[in-house]
Amino acid sequence: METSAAGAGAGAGRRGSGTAKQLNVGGKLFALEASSLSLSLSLDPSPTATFVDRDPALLSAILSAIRAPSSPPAFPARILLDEALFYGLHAQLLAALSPPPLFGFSASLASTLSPASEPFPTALAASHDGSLCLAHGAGQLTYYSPALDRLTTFRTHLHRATSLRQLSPSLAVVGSSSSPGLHVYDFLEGRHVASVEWADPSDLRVLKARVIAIAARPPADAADTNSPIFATFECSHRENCILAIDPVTLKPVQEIGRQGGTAAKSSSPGRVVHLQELGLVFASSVSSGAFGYSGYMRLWDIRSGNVVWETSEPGGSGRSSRFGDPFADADVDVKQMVLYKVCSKSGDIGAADLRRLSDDPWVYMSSGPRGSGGGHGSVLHCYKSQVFVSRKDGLEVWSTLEEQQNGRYNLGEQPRAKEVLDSKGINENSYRSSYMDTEEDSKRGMIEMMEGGGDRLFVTRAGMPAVEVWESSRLAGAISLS
Amino acid sequence: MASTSVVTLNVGGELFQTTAATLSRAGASSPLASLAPSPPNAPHFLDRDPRLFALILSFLRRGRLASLPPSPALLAEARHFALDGALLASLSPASAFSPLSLRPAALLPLTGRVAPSAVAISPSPRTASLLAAHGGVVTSFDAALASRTSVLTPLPAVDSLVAVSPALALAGARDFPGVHLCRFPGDAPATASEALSWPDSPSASVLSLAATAASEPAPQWLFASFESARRNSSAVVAFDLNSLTPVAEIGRKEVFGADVEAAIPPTKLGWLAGHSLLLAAGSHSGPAGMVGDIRLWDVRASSTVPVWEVREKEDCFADVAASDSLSALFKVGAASGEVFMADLRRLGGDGIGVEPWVCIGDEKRAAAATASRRKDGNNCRVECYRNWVFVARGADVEVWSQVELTSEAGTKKAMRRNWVGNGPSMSTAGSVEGTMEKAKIVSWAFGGSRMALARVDQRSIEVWDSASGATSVQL
Repeated sequence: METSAAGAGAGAGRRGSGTAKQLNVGGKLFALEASSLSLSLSLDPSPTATFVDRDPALLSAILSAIRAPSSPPAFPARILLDEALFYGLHAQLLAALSPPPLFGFSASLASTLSPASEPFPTALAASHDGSLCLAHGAGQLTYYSPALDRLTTFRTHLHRATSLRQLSPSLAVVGSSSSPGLHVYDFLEGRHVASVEWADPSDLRVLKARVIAIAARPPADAADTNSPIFATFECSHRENCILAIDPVTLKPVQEIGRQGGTAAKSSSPGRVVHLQELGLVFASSVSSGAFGYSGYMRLWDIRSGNVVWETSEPGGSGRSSRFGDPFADADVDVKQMVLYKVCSKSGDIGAADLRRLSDDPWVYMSSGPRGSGGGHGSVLHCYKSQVFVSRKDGLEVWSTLEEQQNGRYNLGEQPRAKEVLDSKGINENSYRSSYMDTEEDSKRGMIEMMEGGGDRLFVTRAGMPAVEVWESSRLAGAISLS
Repeated sequence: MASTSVVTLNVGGELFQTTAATLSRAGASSPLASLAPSPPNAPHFLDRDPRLFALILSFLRRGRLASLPPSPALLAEARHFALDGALLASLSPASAFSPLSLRPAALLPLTGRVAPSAVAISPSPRTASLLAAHGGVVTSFDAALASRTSVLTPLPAVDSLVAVSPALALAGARDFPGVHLCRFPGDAPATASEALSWPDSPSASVLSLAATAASEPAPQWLFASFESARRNSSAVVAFDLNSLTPVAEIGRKEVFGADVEAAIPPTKLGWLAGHSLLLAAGSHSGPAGMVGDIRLWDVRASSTVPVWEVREKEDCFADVAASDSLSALFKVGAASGEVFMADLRRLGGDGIGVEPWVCIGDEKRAAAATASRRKDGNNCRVECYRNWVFVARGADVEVWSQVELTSEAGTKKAMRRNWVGNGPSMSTAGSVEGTMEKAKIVSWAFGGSRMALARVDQRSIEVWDSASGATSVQL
């Protein structure tokens, strides 16, 4: 019998005690844990090795990639993943090829994705598995698999897709600010599935409404996987609303927050977030001009369609200590239930607890003299309980110190902090800011869009024909000097 | 190893096991196909390199190579097992062609000082070998872009080049007589000693060439558009490529007196396999503007009366192409530079005088440009490959794809345009395209998963591929 060299004892177990199944792969012997194999292989009753007519080199590459995830695989990831499907090792291999949990303070630029034709990104949609749907150029969509292999590129009928979301498992919801309707495409087959229009039989002026923003749907582990899609529609006479669309029938089910759109306070929201646990929709609109920024944030109750809370800047309500410093961007951290904004003048971050909103719920945090870039043109994105803020001079991340609750830090001397702790509100002392990028990174251009997906942060910059992928890494990346 | 169909091989001392079914995929001509099942204790012995054999066996199992591109040693090993054809065909499959994924993949340098004047790719399903004519030399590159063979033709320069198969190419020139056959037999030196000519006028020069597809049941034909040396008569002659004899003379025209526009010789030929139609188009530019004729011939029905013809006066075509899968003709207007489409199923049905062309670009701009007699479409080319229409504008390539919209009322189709690659707007350093010098496209060809470009004054062929190529750049 031939030597069992290459993979002998290969899978014999990370988990130890499972029964080993002998496989003869093209003349080489492998022993793998039966429970990890696909059914057809593990159920083979023969006591001797099961013969499989496959390439043994690929299986040993798969096994070594699973056992030692840090070393680069010998074959392209796409080929290994295809082969792993046969053995039932796909999920294990994908987990081994995926980056470690994303922490902004330890993340670095891992790779750059550049589509082959017209590579300027216009919209991003990342999924929880780390895959990316990218709209670029004149209405093209490219789908990158969780291993960041380019799987498909196709042309939509839109001339420029400006809003995009992924619907599991293979649907993309696309909208354009220049042509009407919300469109659903199957991104694996490149096929148009359906279109949704805002129509109102009682008002004939509601016609050819364009889509400004689509809500990020709750992650896949949320209780209600059939929660509606929310999208803001705007007519050519600026009247706008938020439509709730059933994800199964792809028909509008509800109209929320219809407004005239003639003033800044009623212009159509550029960001919508669905707060599933609270039954609310967050909508924010920002407009900027020669006189600075102005905008509003609103929370709508989905069932009643009423405004629960709202604030608008400049002006607004309450004893705002930040008069003349309106927000440039705002986002909600759905897990933490905290609303974040970035101030346009000072570049400070404001946080508001969604459970105790009031006239002036903001707690302000400043990144100090480092954040000299201000908040003009800032983009704010909440992901994995971290707040990513782009500035003129770089990409900043705000993370919370978890140890604080355990009293590791003695905050007794700081009266303000104690007061906040007692009221169980937001504690600005538990936040730390750090730069994610280096100075060279920020010279590539101002960040336009950010989107978290899986353990990755996807970043696009003005005038850059590519998408940057930021990941935490286990690799030291030592540079040999000899 | 209870299974009886398992074949055990001892290749250079290393044992391999596979099934007879896998080995039979190598084809009847391969020595591997005849190996019978054998037990592990009595393996077949092959005196070959086991490392290369592992790759060959992997290719037989999966139908493609795991690591690209193949080394010359692997290609030689594949030749030994009579697998080189299948291996080369798997490198550039036509099914992997996607214009929006085309990336510059290789530059093929050419010898000598003459820039290439024509490129061609032999059609699928055969191996997509690539041909280039530079001066009077025709060079053939294999599908792996690893080796090349050149042959000297009697022509001083080649204007039209058609690849019929990896072993046969046809070359013609505008000012010199005859279609010259360039043969590239794999095992013998390449030759270019035979020529085809118009029987009625042996000195006639060749304006354009087109060949029927090899996949059709009928014998393969070659169409050549000839113009006599005195430029007073022209015809399209069909040759049978097996017997190399002329079989038909189509649309013969004679010029009497000064009425040149009555008999414009076709300068562009195209074959529509699905409809069995020959497209022949020619234009003439005179003091009164540009005039052109587009004709569709059903070769088997009539060689004197075309199925459909149109005389182009306003916004005459700069180039025309026909698409089988889209069932349409496409033209670029010489004045407007916009792309027009004519549905083949509607041609002639709606009566005389109906404008067949529908502008799929900017209609208003097209009308304005035509009225002001601009020449925006000069030097534009149009070509159809699979489901896409390509337009070369100067140094850049534009692609039109068909988008289908499903809606309650039914299916709506629309043509949408994009640039292949970055397009003209961008000139970033750092990207692969940024480093390449962009000059006007002289000739282009599509085949397999590739697009080949010849640019003015550049002594190499640019190959764009959508099958291979890194998707993400690791930093």
